[in-house]
Parts: sequence; structure tokens; C-alpha cells
Amino acid sequence: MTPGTTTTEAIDNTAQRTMHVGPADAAVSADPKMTIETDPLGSSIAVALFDPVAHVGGVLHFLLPRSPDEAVDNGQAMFADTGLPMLIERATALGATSENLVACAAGGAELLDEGRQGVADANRSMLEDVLRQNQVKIAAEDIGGTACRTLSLSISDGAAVVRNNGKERVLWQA
Amino acid sequence: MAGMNRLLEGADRLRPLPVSSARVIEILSGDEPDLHEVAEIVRLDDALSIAVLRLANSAKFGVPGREFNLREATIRLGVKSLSRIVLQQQVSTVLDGDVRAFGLRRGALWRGALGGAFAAEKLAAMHASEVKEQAFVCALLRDIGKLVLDLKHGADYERLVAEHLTPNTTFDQAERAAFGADHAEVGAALAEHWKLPPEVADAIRHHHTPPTPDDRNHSVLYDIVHGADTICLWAGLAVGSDGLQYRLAPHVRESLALTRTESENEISLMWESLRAAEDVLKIGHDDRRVA
Repeated sequence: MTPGTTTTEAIDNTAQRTMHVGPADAAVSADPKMTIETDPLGSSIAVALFDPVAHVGGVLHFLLPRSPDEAVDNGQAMFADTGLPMLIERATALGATSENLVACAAGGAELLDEGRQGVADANRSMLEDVLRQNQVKIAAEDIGGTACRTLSLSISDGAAVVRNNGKERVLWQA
Repeated sequence: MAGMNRLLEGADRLRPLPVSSARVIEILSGDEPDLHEVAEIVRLDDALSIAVLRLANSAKFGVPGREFNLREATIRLGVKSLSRIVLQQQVSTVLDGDVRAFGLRRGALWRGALGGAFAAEKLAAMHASEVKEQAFVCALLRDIGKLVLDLKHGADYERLVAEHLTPNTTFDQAERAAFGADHAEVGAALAEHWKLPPEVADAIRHHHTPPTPDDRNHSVLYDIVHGADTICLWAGLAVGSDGLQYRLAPHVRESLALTRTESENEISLMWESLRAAEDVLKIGHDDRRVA
């Protein structure tokens, strides 16, 4: 970090901030200056949840559909069946309500073998199942194909943006 | 050749993770340094592994081009040589500056390198246990060419490649147009330049395109490194600006039996090993962040 950068950020209260979410990782925020951004997605899926009333949101980047029986506490974000309930719980703790939450999802590129059900398909099925169980609607998605994407969520307006090869697409916005 | 030499300039400045070199220095500074503990940390850091293998494969320490085993090499080098390696690398880290930008890119490259090494080790244990250690090392170093290009060109690396990307060009073709060689060729040349065992250079060269069984260059080692590289892509590790253009070679999918269930299992095991490595290096991971 350069010394100048530190000083500027310290005195500028309007500065936008970015939090990175890597694979098997999650983060939530109620800070309107915060953008949560994922690393590039493979067959894994990133889910952005946002409550447009409470202006609370979070992003999960999970890798696999279901956790093994002996799932470890710090590995919940790796799996859809444990990571999504955790993300909903964390957003709710910041003031979101589950009936207001909307979800956007991206990733799930199919790399194993075209024509066979691979990890990406299984991830997508589990995503839909878990969100349905928790009564959270998917507002928009960019899933499948073979593109490498990133997903970002802006807490100020809930804009969920997919980036692919330098091109941006707004999936959803409050 | 002159072009490749220019690409390799500065590769000596490949930097280890600050946490791993600090931990090694801490151990080596103790009254009775435990070299087994040092060896475990060296295995978890691609840049430190290269430095140790280079020295272990030099005429001073043995027969060039023979040493694969990182644990044995670390212990054979001893406290004095290891201290010199780590201190030299720490100095170059400080001189390079821009630690924040480095950290973001370097961290992702490190996870991709080590994740691939763990996946390769597991695949080798199941399919060809005689190449387990080679598979770990070759997979750890498979993208070393990317690290060199990233070090040399920084943020311009992706921009320079993008200038040559068209709908009909692959990423490695664009790399060759931009730099005269793709990252697999640069990595292989570097391994040869450093006199690492020839299998390392060949595994790096073939990690996206392993020779098929009817090719006289076919090797189960190259198949395993390629399979591990693809598992990393599925897991979202090592996905760079080259995106998801690489495909699992059909003969590797068959020989390593990489079905969906097996792939999920491999990804899960790889992440368990990565989390354990982060614990060893005391790299915090918090998937419950609130900001």
C-alpha cells in the first residue's frame, strides 16, 4: 500500500470501498459506500442477495452443491446448502428481512463435458432448491455457458453487475 | 532465443508470500531450527520452492537436474543456505514496492499454484503413486510463466494480451503475438534455464495440451498435471484473464476417471488442503465478514 493512498482514504468519507470475495467465501454489508466483488467464476456460482428496503446485501461464492456430513464450521461458504442459509442469516442480522431479499446469480460455467450433467448443473439445481426453501426469489441470473465472469453488488442501489471480457451488464437494480 | 531471454529477465525476483518468508526466518532464527518444519512451509510457497529446487539442482549441492523432492532438498541445503535464500527474496520484495497491488494478484496466483499441487498429489496417489512428489512440484510450478509475465509487465500483462485477442484467437495465441511466447513456453524455458529436472519443464510445457497416449511424448505425469489444472479451473481457482478456454483432454478424463462425483470430491479435498495451508502460514480466512 502506498502511503498516499492510506491518507486519502482516511480523510475522504465519501470514498467508495470494495470488498473482494474469493472462492468459498462470503461477505455482507449495510454500508452504502461498499461494493462487494467476486473473483472470476468457473463452474462455481456467485449469489448476490439484496434487501432494497433495508439496503443490506451480501455475496456468496460457493463451489459445490452439498456439504459432506462432517462439514466444518469455517467451510460453510464452500457449499450451496450451507453457504446460502449462512448468507441469509448474516444479511438478516444486519436488518434485512427474508421476504424483501432478492437474489441475483452468475457463474456456473460448464467445463466437464458438454452433454453430461457436471458440477455446474448440480450447483444451479441446489441454488434454486435452497432459495425456494427460504422463499427468496431469483430476480436475475447469468448462469451456464462457458464464459468466465465476475459478479459485483453495490450496496447503495443493489446493482448486481456481471463483467465478462471487459464488458459490463447490469443484471438487476433497485 | 534472444526474445525468450528478455522475457526471463527479472525472474530471479519472484517473490514468496511475505507470511511464508517471515515464518521461515522466525524458525531459522531459533536456537534449534526444525528443518522439517521449514520444509513444510517451503512446499506451500511456489517462489520459495523454486529457489530451493534451483539451489538443490546446482552443481554445488548435487547432480543438476535430479532433485524433485522438496522436503529432502530443504533439509539437505541446511540453515545457512536457506537463510540466504529467504533473506535475498525478502530484500527484492521490499525493493519492488507496490505491495498492495502485488498482494491481490500474487495471492490469487499462489492459491491456484498450491491448489493445483494438492489436486495433482491426490490424483497421483490414486493413479500413479510413483510420481506423487513430481506431480506436486510440476503442478505447483505449472503457471510459473504467468508469474514471470505478471512480474515483468504488471497490470499491462492483460492489456497487452487483450490487444491481440479476437473471436478467432485463443489466449495462448494472443500471448505469443504479444510476447513471442505463451506462458507455458515461458515457464518451461525458465525451468530449463534453472536446470530443474527435465520432467518439470515438459510438464509445464504440456499443462494445457498433454500428449495423447499414441504420442511418444505421452506421460501419466503430464496427464495428472493437466487434470489438476482443469480441476482448479472448475473450482474457480487460477481463473485468470485467459478465462475458461481450456478443456480437459478426453484421454485424461478417461484415464483419471474424472466424473462429476470424482470432480466434486477432488475440489472439496483440494480446498481442505488449502485451508490447512492457510492455517500453517497464518493467513486468516473469514467467510463471515461484515463491513
